[in-house]
Amino acid sequence: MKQPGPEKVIKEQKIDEKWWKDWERRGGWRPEGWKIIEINDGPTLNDLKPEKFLIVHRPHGNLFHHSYGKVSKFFTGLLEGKLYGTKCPKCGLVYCPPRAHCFNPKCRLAETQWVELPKKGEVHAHTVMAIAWPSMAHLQPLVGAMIRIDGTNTCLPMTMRDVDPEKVNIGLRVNIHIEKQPKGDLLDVYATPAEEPKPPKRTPEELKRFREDMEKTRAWVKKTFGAK
Amino acid sequence: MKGDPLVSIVSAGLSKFGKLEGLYAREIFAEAAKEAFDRCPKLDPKEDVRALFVGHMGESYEHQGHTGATMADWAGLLHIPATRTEAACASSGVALRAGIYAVLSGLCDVVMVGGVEKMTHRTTPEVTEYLAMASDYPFEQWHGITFPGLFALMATAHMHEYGTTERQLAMVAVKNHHHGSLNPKAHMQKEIALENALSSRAIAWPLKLFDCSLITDGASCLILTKPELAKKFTDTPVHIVGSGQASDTIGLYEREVFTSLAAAKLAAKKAYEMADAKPEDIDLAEVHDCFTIAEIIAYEDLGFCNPGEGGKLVESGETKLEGRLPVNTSGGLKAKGHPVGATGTAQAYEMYLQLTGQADRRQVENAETGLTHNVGGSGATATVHIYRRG
Repeated sequence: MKQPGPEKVIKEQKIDEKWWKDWERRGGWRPEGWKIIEINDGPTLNDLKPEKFLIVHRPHGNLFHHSYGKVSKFFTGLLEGKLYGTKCPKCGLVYCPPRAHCFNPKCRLAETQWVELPKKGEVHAHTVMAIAWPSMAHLQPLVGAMIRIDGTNTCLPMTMRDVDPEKVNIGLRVNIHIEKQPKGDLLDVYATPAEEPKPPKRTPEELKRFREDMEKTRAWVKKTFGAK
Repeated sequence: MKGDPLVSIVSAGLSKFGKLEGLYAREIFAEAAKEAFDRCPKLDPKEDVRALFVGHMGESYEHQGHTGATMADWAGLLHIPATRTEAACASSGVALRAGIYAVLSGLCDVVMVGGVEKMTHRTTPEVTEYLAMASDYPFEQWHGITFPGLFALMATAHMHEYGTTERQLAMVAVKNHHHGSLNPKAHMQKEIALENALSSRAIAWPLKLFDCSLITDGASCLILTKPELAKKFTDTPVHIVGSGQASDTIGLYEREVFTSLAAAKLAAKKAYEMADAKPEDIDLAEVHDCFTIAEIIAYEDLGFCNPGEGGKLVESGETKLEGRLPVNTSGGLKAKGHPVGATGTAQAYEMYLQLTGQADRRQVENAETGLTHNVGGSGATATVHIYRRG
């Protein structure tokens, strides 16, 4: 009888597990330091009394192995420089991000089919991240946008490059790119303007504040990570 | 408002909200439970309370899962059935729903519902990462969109569609900080000036530091019973007359519009129907202002104004403490703080105080009816409850 396994590795980009193993062994998650503190504690600010606590500093972390499940083809597509979505054979909705099953209740979870998508789309909503994840903090201010890829019915979130954050507008046409050396996650995809951006309407006061915000963020990044 | 009571709140408790350095979540929950027991001398916790439902979002914060039993243990409620509910920031709104199911089913006469979160001992990037777990894993978290980022996307869409301004967003913060300054348990008990809010550091443009709720430690709880048993425990119960809950796509990217939360609208519709009430019947509301834009969208989703008019509503001053429809008299998530798992029942705690006339310096005169609106993540879960003075 046919069995699910064992797995066959089709292709692999190996990680260097040694640095992780070394870290994992070192200290074995025992505290690296501690402090005894005294602080006022109580049900309201009118009712406080001093209490002492011991606080320890315990290194913690993990190497997270996970699958992209039934939408893995989207991510293997990125590794090959291609953009894929899925299409419901019943209602015709085109998903990117892909879904393996159509969520339209009428289609009763019909299995979708993979389609290759054009690398063109349009900004549906945007923001400028000035506090991002630690691993992305050096990229701030980072334009994040919901991009509706041509021919799809949903939006793919991605970052934008080669654009002045103050000029990004809803409806801006964009080209979509995949990193030359993709790592296999969504940060491999980014967008650049495909036309001259038309900045959203802002009062002079709002524009001044926006520019100050961006300056503050760039100054913080420079101070924290050094010059770009 | 003619709806029959579904269940009655006979007591409630809230820990201090804030940076509770040194404490464990379970100890903070015990503080909230103690207040609920102290407020209700006729309640025998051991004999009367038949189940606990407790909202809690993240075991990552303290490396402590199995929250249901842990909280029952520390609240002195062994050996009752204890269940954790998780729906991101709506975890305890959902715990409240679970408690209503338990009482209405006839399985339990009296239950405790509540929520807890201990967050401030982790760094801001860590908290941001844990909160991001409430968004879609492969497609939202790995683009680096944080929760402020998701709500910022809604904000730019709202500004584009309706002309909502950064100034209007900041007005939500100024109002809620004023209310928080009147709440001795709030995390931030201080007023802020509009100019300071507007010029605070950008987090995810157009949202600035003062547009964001706080990373807070805290716990909250309620004691629920059947309406016909309420008078056994207190002369001043608060009845829940409407309850709605709905879900939506986990990813914001699949929503047709970014300017409204479908789950909140559906939950509100259900709650209003059950309560046989209209938005005009509501005297005061606690809404989920995790970000200032969320309060503006909440006004619209709850029918307090037409779509697109939320910015104008806050500008009009009608949602201030002395206005026609005070919103977030506790200070809201913005100033009272947002220990995510505790927020839903903390909103109900404020309603309990207001509708029993115990809200002190922030008491709304003659408050008869109230509404709470609790949203999980970027709107994939929403619960709405409607309350009436007993």
